[in-house]
Amino acid sequence: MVAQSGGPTAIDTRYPVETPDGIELALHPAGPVPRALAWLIDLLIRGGIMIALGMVLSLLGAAGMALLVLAWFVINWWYPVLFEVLSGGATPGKKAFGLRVLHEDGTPVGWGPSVVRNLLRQVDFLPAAYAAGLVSMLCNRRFQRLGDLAAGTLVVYNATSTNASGDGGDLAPGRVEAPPLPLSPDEQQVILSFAERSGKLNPERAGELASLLSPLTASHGADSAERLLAWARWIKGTAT
Amino acid sequence: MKQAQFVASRQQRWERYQRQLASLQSGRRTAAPPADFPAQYRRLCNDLAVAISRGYSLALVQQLQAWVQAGHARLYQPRATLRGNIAAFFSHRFPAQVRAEWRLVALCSLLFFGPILWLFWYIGSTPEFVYRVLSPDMVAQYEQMYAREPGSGRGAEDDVFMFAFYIMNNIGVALRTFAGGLLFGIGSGVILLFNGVMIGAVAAHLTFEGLHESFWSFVIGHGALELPAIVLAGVAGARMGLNLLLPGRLSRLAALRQAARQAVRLLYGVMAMLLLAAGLEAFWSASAAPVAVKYGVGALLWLAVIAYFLLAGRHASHLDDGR
Repeated sequence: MVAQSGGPTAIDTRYPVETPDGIELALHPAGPVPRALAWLIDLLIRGGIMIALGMVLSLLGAAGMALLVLAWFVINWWYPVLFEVLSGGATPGKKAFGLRVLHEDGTPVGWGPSVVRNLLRQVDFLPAAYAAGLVSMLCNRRFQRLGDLAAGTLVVYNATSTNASGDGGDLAPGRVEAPPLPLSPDEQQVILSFAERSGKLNPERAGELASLLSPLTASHGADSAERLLAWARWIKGTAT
Repeated sequence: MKQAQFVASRQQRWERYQRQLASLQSGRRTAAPPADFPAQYRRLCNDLAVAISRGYSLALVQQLQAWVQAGHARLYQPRATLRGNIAAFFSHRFPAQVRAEWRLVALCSLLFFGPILWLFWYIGSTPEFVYRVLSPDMVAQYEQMYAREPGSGRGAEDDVFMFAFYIMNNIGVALRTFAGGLLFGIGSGVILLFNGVMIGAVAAHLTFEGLHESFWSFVIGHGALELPAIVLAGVAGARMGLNLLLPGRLSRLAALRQAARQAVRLLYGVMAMLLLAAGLEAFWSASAAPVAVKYGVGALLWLAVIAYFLLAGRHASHLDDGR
């Protein structure tokens, strides 16, 4: 997921969008499963709202029934549109899964496209249980259902930030050592990534991974990992 | 420059950017950002580009990307809001767009009104044909509905309920008619035909059963808005279907997107018409006004709707090419 524009080796679903500012946003389109789960949550919320409204409004007689019918109309047809446009591109269900809807150029979704993608749900649902939408999502790299294709929208994961300080994944202080030979930026990045992730790996796995570089580190297991960490500190420029 | 130095030298600026971002995200969606926010954002873009090209760590790059994406979402908001365009839309854009689609309007009108006319002719000569379209129960129900004196047996509260019901039901039908257009236009066509057959069978049957006065005086008013609106919802769907079938010089996907953009504007007009129609149907059509008045008002409404689509905004439509 290195943000160097998707070369022939890109095997993930990252979708780069070039912005007017000359950089690429790396968008991560979301697949069918989280979206289906988000839809289920929304369904429960909608059902809950209708039941709650039904209990309150049934006390109001015919006028209450009128409001209930209107509420059903709004919740049935406009719930996703209102949330997507007014609430940062996400219904509560999507929010729960860290998803949101964007135009294909990475900008927040507007009224027209949101209306289109949500009305065409009707067709995506056909013949049953979003079968058409699922086939459509599996037929393109951006997981767009038919409504998304027509509207030019996509559902992406929110960009995750690893921590708040800006200097992601602080390395534990320790020995600093220069690598034995000049490393290309890609190679430096591999070592940095390993070092930043090694806190989340158990020591055996970290050692196993580090052993892959044993020709370079001239050691095995934990020793090799320790060496890589020392190089990473040097690459990053951490003060001892 | 080593990554640690790079981060340290920018830390202050990034913190300031984060504070601005947080205050923007907690404020109104369309609130204007602080004056130097765009500049801050661009410098952050620059930092990101530098971080990537120097091979700084993934965690840092991801962090910067997340910030850039959040700033991008705030800066590049969709431009137009509906509010400023409503007057222009109804005074000329909507009727002009309908006129521009006159071929599809003619086709969809044929699909919808054709069965109605045909059933009038056919049920006039063979009245029992209505039972091939509607079940005897439904026929009896409709007969009972229009056998009552108009305005009797319904209070104001029922009117309000029916208003809500008409909104839900009719706009629902219109939206489905539109969505069906994605199936190469077939869905829209089938829904139009189906509704034409149902309405035609009921109307013809009631007319020849001698209930014509209570039926026609009820439907003529709101029908002026409701029936054309359903036809236009069909046009919106058919536009998508047609662009899929005959994309011209565009790719099918690009043609579909163009059609969807146009269709959704038609739909705004359709929904406004159906809201008005629901109001008329609930509060006027069901009222106890004399039959002659209802016919008169109904005729005027039909004339007004036809004149609106033929004439409104003829001179203004060149002012903008319909955004």
